[in-house]
Amino acid sequence: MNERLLLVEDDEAIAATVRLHLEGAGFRLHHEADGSGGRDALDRQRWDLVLLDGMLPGVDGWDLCRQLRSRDREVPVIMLSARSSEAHRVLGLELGADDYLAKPFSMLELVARVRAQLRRVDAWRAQASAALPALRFGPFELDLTRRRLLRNGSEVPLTLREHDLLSFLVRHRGQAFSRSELLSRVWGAGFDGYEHTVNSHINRLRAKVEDDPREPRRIVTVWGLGYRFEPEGAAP
Amino acid sequence: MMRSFAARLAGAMLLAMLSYGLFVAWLFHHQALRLEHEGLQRVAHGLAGHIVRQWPQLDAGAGHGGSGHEAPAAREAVLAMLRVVNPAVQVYVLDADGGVAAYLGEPGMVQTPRVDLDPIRRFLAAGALPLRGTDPMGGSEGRLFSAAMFPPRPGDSRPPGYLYIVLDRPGGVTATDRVPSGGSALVVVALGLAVTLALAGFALLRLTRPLQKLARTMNAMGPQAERGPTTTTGDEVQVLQRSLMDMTSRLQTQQDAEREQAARHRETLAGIAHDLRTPLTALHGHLEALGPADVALNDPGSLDRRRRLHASALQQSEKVRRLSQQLFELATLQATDTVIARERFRLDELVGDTVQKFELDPQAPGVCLAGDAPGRVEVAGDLQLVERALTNLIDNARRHGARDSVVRVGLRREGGLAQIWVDDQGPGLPAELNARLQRGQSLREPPIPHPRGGMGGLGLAIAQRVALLHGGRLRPLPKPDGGTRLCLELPTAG
Repeated sequence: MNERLLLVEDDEAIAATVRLHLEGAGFRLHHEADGSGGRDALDRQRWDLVLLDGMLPGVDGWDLCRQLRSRDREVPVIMLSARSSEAHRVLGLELGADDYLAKPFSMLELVARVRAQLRRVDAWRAQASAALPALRFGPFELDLTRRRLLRNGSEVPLTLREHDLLSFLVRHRGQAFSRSELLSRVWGAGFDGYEHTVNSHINRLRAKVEDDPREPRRIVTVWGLGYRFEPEGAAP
Repeated sequence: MMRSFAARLAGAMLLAMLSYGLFVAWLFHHQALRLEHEGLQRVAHGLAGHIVRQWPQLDAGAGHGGSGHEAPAAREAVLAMLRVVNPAVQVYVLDADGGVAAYLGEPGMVQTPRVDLDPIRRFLAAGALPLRGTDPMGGSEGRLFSAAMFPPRPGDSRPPGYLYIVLDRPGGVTATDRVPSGGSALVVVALGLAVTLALAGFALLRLTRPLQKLARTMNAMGPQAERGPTTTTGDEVQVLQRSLMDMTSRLQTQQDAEREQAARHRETLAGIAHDLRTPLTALHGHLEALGPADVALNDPGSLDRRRRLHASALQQSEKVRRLSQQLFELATLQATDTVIARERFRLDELVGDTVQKFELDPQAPGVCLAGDAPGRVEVAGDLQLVERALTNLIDNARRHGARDSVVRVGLRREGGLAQIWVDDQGPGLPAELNARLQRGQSLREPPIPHPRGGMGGLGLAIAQRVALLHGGRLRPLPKPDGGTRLCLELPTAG
């Protein structure tokens, strides 16, 4: 394990504790104490994972995340914030962060989330190099190698996370998964406190792959069990 | 009835201007008349003298008992001449005492046989004009006149008399001439007054507009709920006065509310301090026990003790974390400008997912779905907040439920409402909390005192606030077999 992690955090006590745990887990950590330093560090080199505090002196963490995402879709970003109510915004389309931890958080949880994100990137890179065949359902074709969805030959825009969730469901068609299972197998972590991000993503996916999103036939709900993908569409 | 202050001011100004205008008009009229009379008398000042010089025989035989054979012809000539110029003139011949010796006109017209000589003497002495003399026709009003003294007659020892010419008619010679010009003047004055009034009205409206604005601003001050209906009766000053009184009253109410709120904040802070102090004291104690003093690491008993202390410290730390999280959430939700991020989502899925989240937790009591599958139930709301509310209800039921009992969660649709109910077999809600939920009263305003001190009830307060922000409510439902049934009601999406 030799991944280089960037932490941008202005609170020295939290930075020291994060360093203690992440370096203890075998990662190399570089710390910047303000937004400007963080931006310079992001410009200087490519990092394997970035940890950003939301409220920073200089350039705030939300802007740093937005800037980073506009030029690099792959590097995992974990936001650290005191405001749990911002999870929706952070994980959604607006900022496109990969994970979110509300302060006060557990350091063991943080280490687990970092590992999950790095595993996810490794899995995606392995998948990209394997040139997997496209998955088909109804009028759709899901290109796993190029990570895009086509409907009758026209591309339907998907975020990376939507792609991951859809490809998981399509590859496991006919099986019901609880939200917790989807979280751990697609997102790669427990996401305590904002598991609802799965519900949001399923809502968005339905808007893209269902003929009538209000009467879903492909991503269906099994009361008390979870979600199941029906490639040909379930009976009403 | 004039309602606006500007209209009242304009009315008052109109009255003042009318009074002033009438006074000026009267003065103007009076002065004009005086000047007219003066002019008339001045023009005719030398008339009598001229006639006396031309026809000195006019007084011949007039009351003198002398020969007057020349007089009638002269009088006829004079009268004819004068009537051509001014038909209103009357010509009299007076004796030295002012008695009317002769009248050059129809006989029998003279009603006052004696004329006051004082004005005549002042006229002859070039006194200030106009001068009014006696009306021999009997009129009570003095008349404009021209006069001259006849020259002394040779051989006549009596003093000479006077020629007295009345120039105007009773009531004013030029009255008929003045009417048209006087009417025009009145029209001009009225027009001027109207234009002035219109301009003044416009200016007053502009000037009093800030008063209306000020009244509106004062009325708009303070929270919407405390504002009375907008005062519109009366003029601007009355509205302003009422607005000021209303505002003062609102400020007083607000001040009282703030004082009360400050007291509640102090109470809340004391509660937070109490709630934090308890786990922090335990946490600090555990950390101290884990410190360098306890160095017997080779002792298996000591290691076991360290493990227990460590687990206990983590538990206390988790309590502090949870409390701070809830306080932060509640503070955010209670802000008056809270805006929720709405999206349309399947509530039936969220309820199922949330219950499953608890199923994974090995701690007793368990949580399960109950009742029939509700089918598709859609809500437009904040996913995160609704899940937080439901999580809090389930968490609350687990903590207060009877040991080894199961928390049951169900969802049903009731008209335009989605009802999520959470059952437990615990001792039931405290009376005050139950009463507030029944009434729909806030659980935090004011906070409910906890029997052992501290805040208490944050999870339910958050759930209640979330329901309110979504246009729903949190209420207890009857549960005949004991325990508690809480119902989170949210409006469904159309």
